[in-house]
Amino acid sequence: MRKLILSLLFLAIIPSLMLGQGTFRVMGKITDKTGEPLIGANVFIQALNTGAATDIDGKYSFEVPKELAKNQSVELTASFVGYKQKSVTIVLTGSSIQQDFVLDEDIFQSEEIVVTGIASKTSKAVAEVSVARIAAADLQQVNAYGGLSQLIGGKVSGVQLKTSSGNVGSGWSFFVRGGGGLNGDGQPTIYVDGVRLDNAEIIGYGAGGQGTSILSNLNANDIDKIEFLKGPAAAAMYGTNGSNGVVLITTKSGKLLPGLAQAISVDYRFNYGFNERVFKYSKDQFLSADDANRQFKKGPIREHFLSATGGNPNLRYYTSFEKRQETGIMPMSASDRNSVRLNLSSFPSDNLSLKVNSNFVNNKIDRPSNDNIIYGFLGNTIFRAVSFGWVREEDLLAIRDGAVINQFVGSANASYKPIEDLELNAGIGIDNSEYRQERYFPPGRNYAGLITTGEKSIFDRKNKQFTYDFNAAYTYNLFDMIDIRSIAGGQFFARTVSSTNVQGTDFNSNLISNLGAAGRITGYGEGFTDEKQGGLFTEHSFSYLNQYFLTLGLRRDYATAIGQEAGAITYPKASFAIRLDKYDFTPDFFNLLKLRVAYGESGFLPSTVDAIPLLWRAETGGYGAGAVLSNIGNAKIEPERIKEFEVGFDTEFLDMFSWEVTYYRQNAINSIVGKINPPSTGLTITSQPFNVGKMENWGFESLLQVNPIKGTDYNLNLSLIWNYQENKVTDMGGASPLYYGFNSVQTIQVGLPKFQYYTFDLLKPRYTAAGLYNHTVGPEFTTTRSDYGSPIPNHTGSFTLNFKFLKNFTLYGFAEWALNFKVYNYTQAFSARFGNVPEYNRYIWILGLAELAPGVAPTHLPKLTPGTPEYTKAAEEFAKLDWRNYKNWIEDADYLIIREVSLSYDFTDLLKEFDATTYVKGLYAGFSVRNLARITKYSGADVEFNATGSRTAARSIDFGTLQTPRTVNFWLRIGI
Amino acid sequence: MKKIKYLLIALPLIFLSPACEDYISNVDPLIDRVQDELLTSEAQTVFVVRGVQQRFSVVASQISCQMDLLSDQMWYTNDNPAASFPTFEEIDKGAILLVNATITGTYRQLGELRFFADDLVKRANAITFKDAALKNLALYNGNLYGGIARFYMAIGFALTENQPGGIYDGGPFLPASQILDDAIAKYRAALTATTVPREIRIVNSLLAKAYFAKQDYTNAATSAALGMISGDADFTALNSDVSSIYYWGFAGVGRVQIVVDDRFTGYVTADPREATSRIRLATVTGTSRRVYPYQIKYNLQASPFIMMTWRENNLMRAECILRGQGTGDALALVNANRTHHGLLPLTAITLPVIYVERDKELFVQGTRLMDQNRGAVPWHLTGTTWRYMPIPNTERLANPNLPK
Repeated sequence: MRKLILSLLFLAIIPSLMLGQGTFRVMGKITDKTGEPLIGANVFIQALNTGAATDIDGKYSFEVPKELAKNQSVELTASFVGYKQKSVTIVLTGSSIQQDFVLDEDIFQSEEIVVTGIASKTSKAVAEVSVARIAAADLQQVNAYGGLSQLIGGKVSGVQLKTSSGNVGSGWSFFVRGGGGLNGDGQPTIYVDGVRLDNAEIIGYGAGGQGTSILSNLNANDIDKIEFLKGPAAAAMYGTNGSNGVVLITTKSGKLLPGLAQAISVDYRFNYGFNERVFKYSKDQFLSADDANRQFKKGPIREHFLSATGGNPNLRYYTSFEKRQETGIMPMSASDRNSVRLNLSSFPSDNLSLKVNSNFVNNKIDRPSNDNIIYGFLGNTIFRAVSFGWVREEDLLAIRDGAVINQFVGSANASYKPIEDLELNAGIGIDNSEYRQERYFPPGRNYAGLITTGEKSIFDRKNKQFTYDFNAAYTYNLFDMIDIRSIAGGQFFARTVSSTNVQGTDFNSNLISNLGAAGRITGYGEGFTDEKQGGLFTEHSFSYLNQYFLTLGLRRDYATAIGQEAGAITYPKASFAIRLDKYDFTPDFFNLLKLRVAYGESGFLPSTVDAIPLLWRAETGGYGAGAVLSNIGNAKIEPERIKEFEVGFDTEFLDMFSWEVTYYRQNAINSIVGKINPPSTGLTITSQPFNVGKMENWGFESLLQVNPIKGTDYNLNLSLIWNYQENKVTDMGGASPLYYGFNSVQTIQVGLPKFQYYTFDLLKPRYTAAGLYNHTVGPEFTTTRSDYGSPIPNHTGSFTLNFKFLKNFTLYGFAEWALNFKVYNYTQAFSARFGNVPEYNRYIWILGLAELAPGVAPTHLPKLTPGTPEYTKAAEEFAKLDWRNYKNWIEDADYLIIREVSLSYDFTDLLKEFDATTYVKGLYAGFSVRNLARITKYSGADVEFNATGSRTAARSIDFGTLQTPRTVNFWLRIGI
Repeated sequence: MKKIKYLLIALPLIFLSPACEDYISNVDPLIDRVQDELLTSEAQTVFVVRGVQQRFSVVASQISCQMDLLSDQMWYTNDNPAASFPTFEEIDKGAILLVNATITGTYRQLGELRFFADDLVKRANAITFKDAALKNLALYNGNLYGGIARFYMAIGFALTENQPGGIYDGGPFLPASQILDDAIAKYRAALTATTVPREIRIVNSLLAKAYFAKQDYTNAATSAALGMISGDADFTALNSDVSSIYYWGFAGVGRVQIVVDDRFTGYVTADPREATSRIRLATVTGTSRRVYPYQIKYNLQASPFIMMTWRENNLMRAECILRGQGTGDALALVNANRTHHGLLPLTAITLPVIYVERDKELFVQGTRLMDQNRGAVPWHLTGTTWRYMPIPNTERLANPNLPK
């Protein structure tokens, strides 16, 4: 691999050394409508692959070799982020050319090129599918982001994103539109610069419920933009990986700089901040609230980010280094990330371009135990009236649980035009990572009796995945009226994952902690999988009069995981758009009015071994190694197929408003339903997969943007996202309903949305012969279950404010909300059972059900007499609180979260005033708060977390789970 | 020219279609799993036998500890600082939900044990062995552990609070007596596959125990007479540091969630020699400062779980004799046990005395629940409670032959 990268770097650099002699100059100035110079705008001659960027006065100038001037006409194009691109025709005679531009603001980015498929890009104004784009680089100008999840969350219509805990580096999960099909974990496929990324949440030796997201390695400062294809209608050409959408991340690339073509621009950003808790436990809820609250602390954040960009018309580069140290709000929660990136773009000839991107990250993440574990800080405080009953505080603090991740992500892409109108593209990408976790319990300490002589556990996972892409695109014209672009290509993916784990105990010294010092090995294992996917596709886009647009496509997919008797699967797509604003009957105030409709199919693969009927593995014990069951499969298994239809419109009007609305409907067929065999068969190690399920979901998503104030000194942008989704399982082929989550309160079954809360209703208390509330057997419940709402909100949305005032100040605000949403508060239920909830204890006392520990019992209250109306009434009230009354703990959790607020200042004008721009080109400072406030009816610590991590079917479970923190940041950015 | 362009686009697709199928098939084989059919061979027989034994070792201490918890031998209290399993509390109080995760797991493992054992017999019959001893090894172990699985099913699980029995392969519920008959048939089949005297005696003792569960003391006496004898090594489930005995992890040194009844402290107080022989105890102090005894009979992760001993066989024989079945000296049989442990001999023997001896001798061996349910000793809980562990919801939901 190293050789390959070096070779590609060499290829990319060589052309820059071959600059010719004898030139003429192309120059001019670029301004906006008000005459303000646009700094950093790009001006280029596409035909010659040459150009420059404007300087601080908006002026540009670049040289063209005289031998290229043959009196030909070429397009000179000026572009600038946030402005509509403009081109003029110039004639190259060999003499200098002066050409100024006045650019119109592209208020709603409709002219920006967006990805609309695997090998297709177009402007948003003519896209036939709903496209979403996050201008990550712009967001970073006004805010500070710790990672990818913070950049995406709430900013894309139709997409929900939740972080499963407040651990630094914690996992996070998407819920896209109506949740896709019945299968899988609902996560989209993520590409960065064409490389398919590992999107795993790695648990290793567990810390209660939370894992570590490999995506936490990605340095948000390097991201230029994020595009989201939200479902099969847009992502069909990605084949079996597109059912939950596709996220396309583009990192920053080298830019031609203002003024001198050889110049370098260096950017340094320093970020100082801290994490702190949002929610404070109350003594009304938990007797031990003070102990729980004492565990929290302010966790400092320090980030240094240095980047450099520049180049010349033949070679551009972007390079960066980041060191980010972040501490969480709980002991033992921290990360130390070091990231190095080098992105090169080279244009060796008029018809060839090469790109090489590479990123290496070393990330050390410490993870505290919480959730469902007795080694947790929260569990040891809020679960019981007497804190640290399971493990003493000082022993908890002595635990070490850290992971080191080394990851290299690299890609090389080539684009070649052998003949006019034919473009050949090829790319190769690699994501190679090693995750090594070490967990250590020192000897001489007591971990609930389970570990007293120390324990060391090492988990190592190596993931290697390659992405190969190639395609050919041919552009031609039919009847001189219809522009056609035909694309054919292939996409291949190979992945191997290997893991090993070892655990030892009986350390006789706390001074040596390597596994070699363990007296006994108590666990070990090794795993390996190798899987491949391949797809061939063809797509044809027709454009008539630049007003009607039609695309047809087909993909044929192959995968190791597809059933032994189903070798391949085909997915079609079709989409159409019409620009109504080009009709005479459309009122003039419409700047853009486009209707679009699209249909596409995609799928979700079975797991790699699902097509093998029965697998056995080795299990070791007192008899040595023996064969035990491992997997139950089905040779006829196929991918689940998801069909999506979407229709919508995009409009801009009165030069002030932009509105996008999309209605979608997805139908999943052939969904893989795991039929659970009765345990009496012995065939229960896994469920057996069958293609018998169906589900449907529908919803709409909308994005309204308003720009009521425009200007250099004052500019106001507002945007509102509103999404609605419904989903329902319609068929499970007669299989038993699935229940999961604590107390099996969640289900997947016919007639209900997936993951719905579905449990028993309370009837009445039961009494003992002595007339006491029967606390042993609990109250009486219905024998059938009822629907108690969803852990996935139906309504979600966000509101964004971006206000530039006094020319150099920017106030940015962003809030998210969700409705029709429940969280299972198992923290409260469990704590009640262990005598830590005052209200629960009050009933225990007055009903005379148990003796309570001193300090816990409300002895000032009189005990009630069994059989009296007061006793009966109290018993009926207590039955509602009984820990077995699961529905009582399913709480409304609708929320409004003030997610991001920031205020920043651009010192550039001040620098100009003091003539300091020779040395410092830009200076920016800002202050931001993330998770400023959380408004909800939910009584627990958070509404977005999940006690079982980010990849399980159980959702929105609160069980001693660490809340996501409030993050305060101060930053300073200097450009030189 | 246009044709060439079209060709450039189309050619890769034409060539790549078959290449795709080759590409996705060219993967490295699994290293940690093997396909079912490959195990039906003489060379893999020992590997399959070891799998059955391994599942037995997991099930035996797990189900026994939970049966002991449901019986009056062990109990659970939240006052215990290491306790955190609500499911244990349910079992202890006999107020068990059908979704009890602890029992659900045990029931699943037990289903596997029965399947693995029966599957071993099927494979043995399908293979043409060159080595007859290997075939007998498979048939002996397949039938032995198939019998044990059925025995545990019959004495451990029930459809309703007091309706013991079990289920095979998603079929209808069968009463315990029928399941025990099947266990007995399996044991007898095991006897036909071995000529090793100790193995024959072990199987006969297990047969006697199955008859005890059926309260068929006539046949129990006959089998016990052929059962284990003084000097026979205990029949145990082997554990290891990697696969721990359940008592260690949940009711012992590993983590004390389940403690033993105070009467065992009384036994030790009355005769301190019990503390170093049959009733090995340690104590843990609760949040309320109350002191709880817990077992350290199994004090290591790798402690073998005791399934059958010659001493239990003696006790069965003695009880049968007192019930008028079989021949021999009941007092001598009991005193042989006591002498073995360095305890003073008894001077007289009655059924209640034997039940106390069983309580002590079979301490934490999963037998107390059976003794309570066969009426030897009284039931300790009041009201309507589970006297067996309920067949869990996972079976009820997936099995069309059961009431929902």
